[in-house]
This record gives sequence, C-alpha cells and structure tokens, in this order.
Amino acid sequence: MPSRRALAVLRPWLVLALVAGGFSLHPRFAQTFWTRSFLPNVAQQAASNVILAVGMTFVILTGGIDLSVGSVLALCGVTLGLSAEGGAPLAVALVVALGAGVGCGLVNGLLVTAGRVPPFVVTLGMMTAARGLTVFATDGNSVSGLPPGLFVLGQGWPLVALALAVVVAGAILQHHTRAGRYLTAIGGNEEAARLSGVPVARCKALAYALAGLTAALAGVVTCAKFQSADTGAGANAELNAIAAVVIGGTRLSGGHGSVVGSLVGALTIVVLNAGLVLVGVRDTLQGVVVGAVIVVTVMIDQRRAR
Amino acid sequence: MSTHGWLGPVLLGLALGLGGCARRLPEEPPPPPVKAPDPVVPVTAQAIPTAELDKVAQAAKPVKLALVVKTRNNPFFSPLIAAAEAEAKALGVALEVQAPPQESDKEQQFAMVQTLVAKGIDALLITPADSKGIVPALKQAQDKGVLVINVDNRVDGATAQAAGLTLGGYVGADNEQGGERAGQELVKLLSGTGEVGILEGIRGADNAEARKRGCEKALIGQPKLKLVATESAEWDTAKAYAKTQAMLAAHPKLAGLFCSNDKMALGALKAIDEAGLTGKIAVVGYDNIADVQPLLKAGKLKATIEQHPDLMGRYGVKMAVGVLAKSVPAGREHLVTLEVMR
Repeated sequence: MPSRRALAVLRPWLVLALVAGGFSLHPRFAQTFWTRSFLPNVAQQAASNVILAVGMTFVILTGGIDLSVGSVLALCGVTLGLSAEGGAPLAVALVVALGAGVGCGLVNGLLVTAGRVPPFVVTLGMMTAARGLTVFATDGNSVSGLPPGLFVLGQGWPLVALALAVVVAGAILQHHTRAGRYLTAIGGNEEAARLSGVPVARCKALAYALAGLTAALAGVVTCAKFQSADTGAGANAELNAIAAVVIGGTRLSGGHGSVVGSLVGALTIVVLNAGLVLVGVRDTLQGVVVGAVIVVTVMIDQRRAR
Repeated sequence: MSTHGWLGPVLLGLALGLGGCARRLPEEPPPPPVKAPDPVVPVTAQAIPTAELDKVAQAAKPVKLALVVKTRNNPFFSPLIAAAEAEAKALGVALEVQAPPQESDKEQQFAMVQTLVAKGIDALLITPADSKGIVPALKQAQDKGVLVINVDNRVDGATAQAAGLTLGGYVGADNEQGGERAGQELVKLLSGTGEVGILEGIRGADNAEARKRGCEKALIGQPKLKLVATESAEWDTAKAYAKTQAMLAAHPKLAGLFCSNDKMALGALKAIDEAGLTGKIAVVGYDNIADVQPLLKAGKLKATIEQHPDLMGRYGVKMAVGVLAKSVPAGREHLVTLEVMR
C-alpha cells in the first residue's frame, strides 16, 4: 500500500492517465492522438497555461488566489508591443514587460500583506485595473509592430522548452529552497509559520511577484504566438490556470500541492478539450464536461483529505 | 514617431515594475498607435459569381468538412452555421461545426483547428478569431492536404504569405460596399441636404474602416451635405449612447447619422429619443440584428444593411465542395449580396 504522500503525488497523473486512457477506448482518438504529429500540438496548446499555472501554484500554496494574471498577461503583452514599436531593442522590451508583470505582482503582494486586504479582493481589483490600463495605453487597438525575432517563442519546441523550463525552475524553487518550503508552511498554518520565524509577509509577496512574472512570460508567449499584442489577450486565463492548479492536486486552502502537479493539470485540460473534439462531442456541451471533471476531481481530493 | 518614442512605454513599465507600486502614471501616456489597417488578403483575388457556385452539385465521393467560427455566442453566426449545415445536407457531405464559447478564446479556436485537422477532414471553413494568430494552424492544415476556405473575417494576407499559406477561397461580404449603400440611403433620406455624422467601429479593424470608407464615398459627391462628426464608439451600445449625446450637443443641426453596426444604432437612438429629437434625425444602421427589428418597424431606425451571414455559410460550403471536386477553381473570392432593409 503506497503511503498517503505518494498517493497525493501520483493523483494528478492518475487523473491524466484516466482521461487519456478513457478516450483511447474510442478508435478515432486512439488513432489520432497517439501520433508523432499530434502529441506536439498538445504540448504547445498547454504551454501558456502551464506557465501561468506555475505562478498560480505558489499563490494558492500560501492559501491565496490571483485573479489578475489574465489581465496582467495582456498588460505585459502591450507593454512589450509598445516598447518594441517605439524602437526599443527586443531585449529591453522583454525586460520592461517582465518588469511590469513583477511590478503588478508586487503591488498585489504588498496590498495582501501590508494592506491586509483579502487576496480575492486585491487581485480582483488588479484584474480590472490592469485590463483598464491596457486599454488606456493602446486606445483599445492591438499593437502589431512586434519584432519578428520574437515569434520563434510562440510555437514549436522553443515554446515547449520555455514552459518546461518554467516548471523545472518552479519545482526547484518549491522543493529545494528555503523560500519554497516557507511558502508551503504558510499555507499549512500561517500562525505556526510566523511563530517559528518564517518571514510570512516577504514570502507571500514573493508568491504574488512570481505569479506576476509568469503572467508576463505567458503574455510574451501569447504575443509571439498571435504575432500581435492584443488588449483582449488572456481573457479567462486566470480561471484556466486555477483549474489546472486544482486538477493538479493543489488544495485551494493552501499548504498542499506541487508545481509539477499543475503541469499535469494543464495537460489534462488540453487532453480533455482535444479528446472531446476527436470523439465528436458537440462543442456546446464540451464546457459542461470540462466543468464536471474539475469539480469531481476536487471532490475526490477533499474526501481523501478528510 | 521620434527615436525616443519608446521611452513612454518603458517609463510605464518602470513605474509598474521597478517602482513596485505605481503611485502615479508617467505624465505623458504612450501615444496610441495610429496606423493604417493591416493589409488583408489578396484584393487581386478573382471574383466568382453566384451562378457558378450554384452549379456545384452533390459530391461524388464522401467528403468531410469542418466549419470553425469565432463563437456561437454571437447572433451573427447562428444563421451562418444553420445555412452551412443545411447546404451540407443538401449536397450530401458531412459537416462538423466547432466554435469556442467566447469570441476572445483564440487559443481554443487554434486548438480546435489543429484537432479537427488531425481527425481527418477534407476542407476547413474558417472565420478566424485572430486574423494573424490563426495562420500557423491553417498552414498545418494545408500541409496535411486540407483545403482552407476563409469565411467572413479575413485571414491576414501578409502573415499568410510569409507562412506560405494559400487559401482555397474566400466567401464574405464587401463591407465597403455595405457602407456605401448605407451612405446612399442617408443621402436619399435627407434629399442630399444637411449635417451628417458617422459612428465608427473599432479603429483599425478591417471591417470598421471599410464601412466608414464606403459611407464617406457616398457622401463626398453631395455639395449640400456636410459630414460634421466622425467618432468611434467601438461597436458598443453604451459608448454609442455617450458619443451621440456629445455629438448632438456639438451639432444641434445634425440631420443624419450612420452607425457602423446596429448595436451602436441602439445607443444612438436612445440618446436621440432622450433629447426629444426622434424623427428629426435619420439613423441608418448595419447588420440587421434581431434587436433593431421593432425600431425598424416603428420607423425610428430608417434602414440597416443585411450582410447575409446565411449566404456566407451556404456559399462557403458550396465553394469547398466545388473546389474539392475541381468544378470550381481554387483561390477565388465570393462576395455575398447585400441588402438594404427598411
């Protein structure tokens, strides 16, 4: 009998295996999905959500939530676009865009810690503000003067490699650094963590800053993929990222979960979406199925936790 | 733009990024990009008349088509989908329709195209949610031997060319002609005299620019007609309401207004109603949506342009089947008949 801990680590993989295995019973899925031409599509489709989900995992591990990542994604995208359009070298534009993301994250973090405003409210505010600022800065138009050198990041193996690198970096941070262990400890029991000398405020701010950074990275990737910086980019992206995190076994109340689990969660969503198209489920009903899977997975998780 | 034009956005980024919390915005917001709309597909594409497409007969061998539109969550696409399904049935071909839940779900539309292509289809009818972003997915389709027919919103021509994508054809509406018909209607309603305003859609958007251009074309030749205001209300009812209020205040003698879509016409009519000017200002809309039917009947909205999405669905399917059977040449463009509804 594997230990509880091992089960918790294995659980997201089991869900993914169940989804992929279940669909594989259908001949059309089995023939199409498990091919060398289709599997790379899955990885590429998941990439930007994987990147977002890594940052989101850290925030949720502390028991928080970040609703602003979709809007911050768009803001960082147009920041990149406007800088590049104005003649800034690509490297400068990238640094500015990533800086904007980290900045938004830090604002979130400061308001949550020093301001003592609930994360839901802070990030809801940032969601609206960042989207508004995005539209303000561009007058609602998309910015298309992006340097072509950027576009390689938007597809193929560079995209997948970038997403994987983010996961690896996230996993190392979570499991092999003191800050990572602190983040989990805060989510487990904030008061206990504080009493045992964990710099709670600083760690929480770090989590939101990381979510901002990954949102910016996802923004860069989205710009590269669609070859323009769109003010409407990342609509509902925060919800997809949260879905990936919870399917990946991270508990919304904090303290339990992993970055790698979120990777598996994001892949599960993509496999589900592709599977439903491949077996021919009506597009209008696909959302119902995906929604049910999210709820059922978390329900099973809760039961196990009790 | 000056060589230091990028400093604005960079400062914005720094204020947000390194400053930690943005206490104030840079004094000068980054200038909004003002530029010509992006070039779109082959204006040179040869037109194909309705009669030739009507000749397309039942497919000899089984054909699998897929139609991917922006979303089902927009009344414009329901007649398009229904007509495409009916036409597929009539021609004896299989048609699978897929659309993301929201117009903004570009990632999902991209994924749907990839998955449908992998599933094995002969032709793909696509209304891209993102004219540039969809190109790599369409190129994948082409590489797998799938015929790509563009319906309604155009695939970006320059991007397609750079990626080596050749479209099998295009079916859509001529927005410039639609705008021109709307403008002519205004001229007729005003007997060629008076002050006129235009509410545009989102600036830079291909269809918005075309409708405006068309309307202006119709107004230009009229010596006694004066175009006094051109404002963008970004396709939005609430924004149209506010813009119209401002326009009425600035131009009390306004006699006619062209709204580039019916949603904006709804807002404009509300503002006109509240100003007690109903019947004094001739309003012409665009799209013929269900919401304006009562207003059209009551004579508050004088006219609107029907773009016939149903015909786009119908002739999209006909073109796909025809090109596959080689009875219709590839790379042609079909513009559906527009209608002025009064």
